[in-house]
Amino acid sequence: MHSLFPKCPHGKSDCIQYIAVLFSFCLFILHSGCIDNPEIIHPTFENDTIITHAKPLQSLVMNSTEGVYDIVSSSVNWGSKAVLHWTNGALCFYFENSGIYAVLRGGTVNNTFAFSGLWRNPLTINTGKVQCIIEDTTQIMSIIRSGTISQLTTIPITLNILSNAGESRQSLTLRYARPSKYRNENYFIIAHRGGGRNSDLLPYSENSLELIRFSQYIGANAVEIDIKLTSDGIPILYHDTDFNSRLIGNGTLIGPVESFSFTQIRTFAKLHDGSNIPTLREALNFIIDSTSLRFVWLDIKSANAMRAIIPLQKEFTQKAQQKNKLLFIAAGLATEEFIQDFMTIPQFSTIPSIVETTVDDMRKVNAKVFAPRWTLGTQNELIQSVQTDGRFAFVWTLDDQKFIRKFLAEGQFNGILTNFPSIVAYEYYAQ
Amino acid sequence: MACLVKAQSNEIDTLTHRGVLYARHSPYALTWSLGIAITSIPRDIVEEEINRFPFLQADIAYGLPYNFSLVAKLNTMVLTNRLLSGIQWNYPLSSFDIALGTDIGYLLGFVTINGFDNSINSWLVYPYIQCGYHHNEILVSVRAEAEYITSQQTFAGDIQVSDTRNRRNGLAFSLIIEQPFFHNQRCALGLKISYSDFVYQAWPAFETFKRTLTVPEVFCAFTFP
Repeated sequence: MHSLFPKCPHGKSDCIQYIAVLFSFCLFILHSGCIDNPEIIHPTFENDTIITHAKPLQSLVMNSTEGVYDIVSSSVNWGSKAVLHWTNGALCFYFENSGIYAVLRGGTVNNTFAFSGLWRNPLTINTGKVQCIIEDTTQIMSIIRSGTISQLTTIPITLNILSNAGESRQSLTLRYARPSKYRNENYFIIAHRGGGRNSDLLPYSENSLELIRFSQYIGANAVEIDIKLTSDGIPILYHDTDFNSRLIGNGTLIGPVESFSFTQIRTFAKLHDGSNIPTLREALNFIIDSTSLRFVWLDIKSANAMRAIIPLQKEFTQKAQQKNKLLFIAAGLATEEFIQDFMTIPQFSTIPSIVETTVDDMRKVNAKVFAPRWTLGTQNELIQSVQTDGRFAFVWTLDDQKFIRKFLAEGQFNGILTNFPSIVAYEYYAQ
Repeated sequence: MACLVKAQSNEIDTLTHRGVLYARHSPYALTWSLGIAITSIPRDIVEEEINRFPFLQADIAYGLPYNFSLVAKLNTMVLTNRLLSGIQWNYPLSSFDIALGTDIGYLLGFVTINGFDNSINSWLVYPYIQCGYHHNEILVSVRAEAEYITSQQTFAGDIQVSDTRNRRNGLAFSLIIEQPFFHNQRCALGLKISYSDFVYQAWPAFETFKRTLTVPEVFCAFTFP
């Protein structure tokens, strides 16, 4: 009979050969990375004439058209309602189902409103391009100028939607329903890790500058960023203890972040999107100069980073004030150890901080924010007592739509930390 | 001629009753194996909190008359435990054996990460088809299985985070070799590629993102007796 394997010439023990062969194969599979898990193909807009040629809309148009819209016809299952929100001149929609969002840029081209951008289901790899063209704007402009916004309900807005690969074209039509109930209230939608985790397959790496910018368009008005310290004392935005393939695109650095100087890190480590690991200084400058974010939660990942962070926190709070920008920067104190370290800093009680442990700890350090984890529930009485002291209360990290809805409906918090800001944005503005 | 056939049959019985994961088991013979399984879960999902701990894997098979067998499997690393048991039937074809079977599994896990007291319990069903080839003292098996979640609940403390019912989870394909190792000791080596939405080894990640993952697993075990 034909043998499956070469015959062992020296007896049974040589079967170890087979083991070696199979083991090598298995190790190869495990470590060569030859198995690709699904990646997302983000749309690109280099040659998009709408984005490059359209003139920005007047702020009156933007303010008047914000609100909750009914989806009156659709060939996609994005829910029955959407929220329209303008952020830094971008037209943003947040849909009822799974926080699907669309971010479009554009404005006026002749007598037409023209917008082009991307849509994404944040819980899946589904994404693609979307366009919105309103050819005759005379009626819209006369409604807006007359201030009879309720008449916007007569104007259909159609989105043309392309899937990831562009093979199918679908459409969705909305009509204005009402203004957002809470659109002027001071509520914080805080994007985790600058906008989301790498596992959420966003267009930019977690804790990168571009993701911080992008977080505004997907619903956030605040960010949480992770801070580690380099060996030469520079605070940088990085989450993990070590340099690893999860966060770094080129694997030239191996080992604890704190073992490397800033120069080494800047020279040898790039994030997955090809950008540099930002310093905290670069990030705070960027937030002040290039975003409309109102709150920065500094999640301190190593106790030795505390003393390097506080001066930057003060410096950039002052810089924001000088630019008449409403920005609050607070140091996150996640553990008892961090709180003890924090209390050794001179005048610690004047430094804005966020305490995640207990209300007693919060009062001890005079923290501005109390931030319990969501599994402790809405804790309404406790949260109200925090707020009567003039402090804020945030809850972390809420990602599930049903719990986000529950906390918004039943809770008293001033903000939600989330990996999916578009879900919170929809649920918050559509209340 | 009859003696020769009888002798061949005995040889195969002797061989197959020593295979645990093979498609065929000798009637009333108990075999078992103990080893480790390592799964390569995408790092962006498990991050730092959940390291790629190897799982202890125990398999047991008991041959029944009429080509039936009872089989069971335990995968455990204390925080995550999966117990499968099922019945399979085989059809011998010369040097080959074809087996059909179904395993029913229970998954129990509990872990505290970042102050979150997480737990999971789940009922799973794995129908499968397996093809075995035996030659000399080597048993080679190729197996294809489907995975269904009949009921699965995850908890953060007392709060039920998710409740999944009757969901097709994915497919898995395995290649297993059982062979002599040293003196009378035998071993089993396997590679399993799963293509599934929920990877039980990574349940503490509580991934909210919905995607189907291709996940390789290797295992090696010593088989007894």
